[in-house]
Amino acid sequence: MPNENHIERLMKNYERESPRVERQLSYARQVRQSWDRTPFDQQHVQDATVLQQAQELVAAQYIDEEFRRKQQLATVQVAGSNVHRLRVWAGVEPTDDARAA
Amino acid sequence: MAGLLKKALRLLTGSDEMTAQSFGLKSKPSRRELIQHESEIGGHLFGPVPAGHHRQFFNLDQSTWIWYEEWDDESGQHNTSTTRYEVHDNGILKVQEGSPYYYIEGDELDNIVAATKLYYEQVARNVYQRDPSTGRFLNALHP
Repeated sequence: MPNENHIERLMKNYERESPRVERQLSYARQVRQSWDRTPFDQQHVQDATVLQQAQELVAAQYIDEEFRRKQQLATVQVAGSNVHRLRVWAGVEPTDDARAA
Repeated sequence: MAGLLKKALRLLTGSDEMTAQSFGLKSKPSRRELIQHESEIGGHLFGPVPAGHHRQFFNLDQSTWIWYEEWDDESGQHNTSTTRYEVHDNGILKVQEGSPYYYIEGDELDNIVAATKLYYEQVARNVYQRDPSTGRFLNALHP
């Protein structure tokens, strides 16, 4: 179970990263806000809490997977760029500037 | 003979790993020659190559990686297989003749990620003789 800071960090990342996630969080916020407006009975509160926790966990999992996938992609992109740079230094490939010109 | 070569190499370079010199590179190798040397290193990044197989894995350009394998099957028929991995913003597309293209996931993605990282580190050291972290030449003989 992620702790509160973790959830908060993930929520921030979530908002930045994905509209789909934003929609889920927006729904979770609505549920939370509705607690202040509506006299929920105890069961409703419990349901809402469970729902929110479930959504946050789904969000956390989604973000972690998304982040991992992006990190992996970035690793491959960086490796390709680095090899290119080695070849440029070796004088067998033009620099990007020269290529653009 | 190979042992002797290794010893000589170790004496000269302090390492028996493959180096540009060990590949017999000229002072100014061509792009093709460099990629050929890279591909031999790349072919061993995915573990031992089965007996009778020849495998190459190399970076074609900044966004394309190639896996090439050739082998003779039990009937003596010569087989080759070429797989292209294209790096797109939304993932790595696997392109193989006769197969549907798809974005790789799971273990296959993990393996490619690890292999490309290792590829850079190893070719930097062993083909270009540069420190993969700093880009500086490993050998003080170089300027």
